[in-house]
Amino acid sequence: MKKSQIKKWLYPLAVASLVMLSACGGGAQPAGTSGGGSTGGEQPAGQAQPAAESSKEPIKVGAIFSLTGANSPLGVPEKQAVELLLKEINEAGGVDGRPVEIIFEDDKSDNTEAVKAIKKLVSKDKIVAVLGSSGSGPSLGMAEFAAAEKLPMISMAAADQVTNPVRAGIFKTPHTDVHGTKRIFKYLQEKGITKIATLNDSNPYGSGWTQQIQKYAPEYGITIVAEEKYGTKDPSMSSQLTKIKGTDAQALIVAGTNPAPATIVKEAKQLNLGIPIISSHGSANSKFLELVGDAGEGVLMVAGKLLVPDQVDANDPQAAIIKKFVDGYKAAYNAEPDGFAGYGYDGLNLLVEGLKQAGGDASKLGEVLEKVNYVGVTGEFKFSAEDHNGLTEDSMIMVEVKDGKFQLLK
Amino acid sequence: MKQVIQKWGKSFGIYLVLMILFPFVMPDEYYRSVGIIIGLHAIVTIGLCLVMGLAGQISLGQAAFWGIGAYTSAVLTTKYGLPPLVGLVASAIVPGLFAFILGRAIAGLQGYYLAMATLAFGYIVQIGITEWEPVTGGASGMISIPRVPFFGDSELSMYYLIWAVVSCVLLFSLNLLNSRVGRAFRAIHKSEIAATSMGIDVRRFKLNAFVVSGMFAGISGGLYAHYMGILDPQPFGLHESIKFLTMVVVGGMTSIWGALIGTLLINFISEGLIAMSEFVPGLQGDIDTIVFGGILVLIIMFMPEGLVPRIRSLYEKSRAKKAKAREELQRMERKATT
Repeated sequence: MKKSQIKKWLYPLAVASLVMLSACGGGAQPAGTSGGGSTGGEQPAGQAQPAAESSKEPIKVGAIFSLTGANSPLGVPEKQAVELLLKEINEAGGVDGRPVEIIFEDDKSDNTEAVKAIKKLVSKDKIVAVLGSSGSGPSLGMAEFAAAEKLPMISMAAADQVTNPVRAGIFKTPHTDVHGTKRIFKYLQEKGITKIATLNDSNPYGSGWTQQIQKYAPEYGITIVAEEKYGTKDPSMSSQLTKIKGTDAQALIVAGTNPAPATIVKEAKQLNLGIPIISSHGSANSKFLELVGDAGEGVLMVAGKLLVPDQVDANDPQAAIIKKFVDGYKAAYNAEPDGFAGYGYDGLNLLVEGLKQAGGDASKLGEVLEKVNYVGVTGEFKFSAEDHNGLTEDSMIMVEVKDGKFQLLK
Repeated sequence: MKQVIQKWGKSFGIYLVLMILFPFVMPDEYYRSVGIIIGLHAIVTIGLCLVMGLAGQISLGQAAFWGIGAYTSAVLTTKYGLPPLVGLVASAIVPGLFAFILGRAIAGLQGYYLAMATLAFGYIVQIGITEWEPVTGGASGMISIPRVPFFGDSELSMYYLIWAVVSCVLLFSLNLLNSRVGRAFRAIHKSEIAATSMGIDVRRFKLNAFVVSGMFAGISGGLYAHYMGILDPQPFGLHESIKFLTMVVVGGMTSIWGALIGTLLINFISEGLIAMSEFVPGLQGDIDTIVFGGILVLIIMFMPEGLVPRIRSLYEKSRAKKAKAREELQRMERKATT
């Protein structure tokens, strides 16, 4: 009885060890030859390349956005803008006569899902470049993989870390907290304000702002007299505001995404805070106006020009593309595009521009993009070897809430 | 060990074959990365199973140990340049220490109070990681964490590394279950008072189970950090703890295999939903949370002992029935001949 039982489990073990042996042999092979770039897996792709150009095989691009979860207010308009532009590009003949095909994935605002999604796109769909993601965490995870795989990537996330330090082939389209901070400080200098208080979200977005404000304040002769934080889901920030009221701050900077900045503005009014509030571009959209109601009068904001498309100066180099984008988006979705939609739009435009200049050869995309100059809806992108964001603070504007609308400050 | 082989040899053999063959049945890189994630979850759930199923405790803060492990290894390798293997060893020890301290502090708590204490611990750790910016990088996290060198750093080698760890953890737990310690745990699970009166040091056993589960979660966290290459505090919250809990409960708390099967099942459902969402657009995004919640409710209502113990008892019942039928038949035959 005992003998037969041992036999019973020995058999599968023997099979397992055999398989293990063959597994080791198989596993070592790709690792050994991947440097040469001619493994079994890559060969079909290589063969398909020359044939593709004659038979107009599509250029496959991946796009990972946060379509659900906490970042979905960012991801959904990004995807819509990309879909809109994609149709236009393919109707105009695509790149070098080849249509562009985009495979969308949802990262659920989750880092692990984003990394899984980019791996799936690379191994299953054989994409040549990737757009996304909406949030900073997922984007950083994707960038880690994309950099190792030498896959060109254009992110729509705000965090400075995505392109700082610069990595080959990793780019991003949104304004960073550096631009926002510098633009606000410029405005404060003009107004002669030197003492500020900050009340920022404790999430990656808000803490990024806190760091940049600390870094650039001395350069602009500004002192931070109070530095407060709040949690993304906190229902009230009145205790922080009361603290700030007790200081001699001349202005309050708020960096977070809605609804918290709107709550802060409302509570500041109840407390009679009495100093100007400047909110970041993370809250600059129509949702803020809706949430804040009458209390929002006089609130200042730093934002991209897309926030007030009809107030952009006709001589502005961006005026034409902003008008085209806004009209197209309104016609397609019957809604005003926000900054996030603009990030997605610029991302795909930059990618296509790069592909065109590289003659449809995606392997050169990383180098080519470093030389691309492109006027987008977010700003004028001037990529270089040291700058993979390519924007300056001058592409941002200051607006004031007046009669329930955003009004450009000249 | 011998007893373990006798009792679980067959299942373990099947497990080994399936585990080793999986990357070749699914030769897609994507499914290998799914396999890696399942392995990482399995290490945590096997540890959680020891705490819940054996020692009869509940832990709503398992993701916290996972996070401590992840950050320990990440900080040591990225900031201090230590090799990943040292980081991984530390990622077992540090969460173990935390578990020891927490376990001592809450040793007297039971039921809801224990659940609340572990829940609070989970929150404290997540907030602590977020606020300790100079070390952990705060909410924006850490990047460029090195990979673990293990026969190269391909997806396949990472898969085998992680499943090798799963196998070790599994063997350890099965062995434990079948020893004096395991019997003591089962006694505690049934009745603490009875166990105490039999001379079992209940406090010590509970503490040990807690520490071991913390260490398992820590190792898994360390591997996760090196696999992902980036870290931020977001994955280490209550949501993940509940997910681990669901996996254990679905599979069956009292069975180590249950934890593994539960982990597989939940991940397969998750992947299945993703695959189906290509054809049914309504299945996108947070739908999996709803499905998991539904499964949890159904399991607790109709199958509180979990999937694996239920199937096992059904199997045994049918075998007993067959044996009985055979016996009956023999008796009838004997009667007929006489």
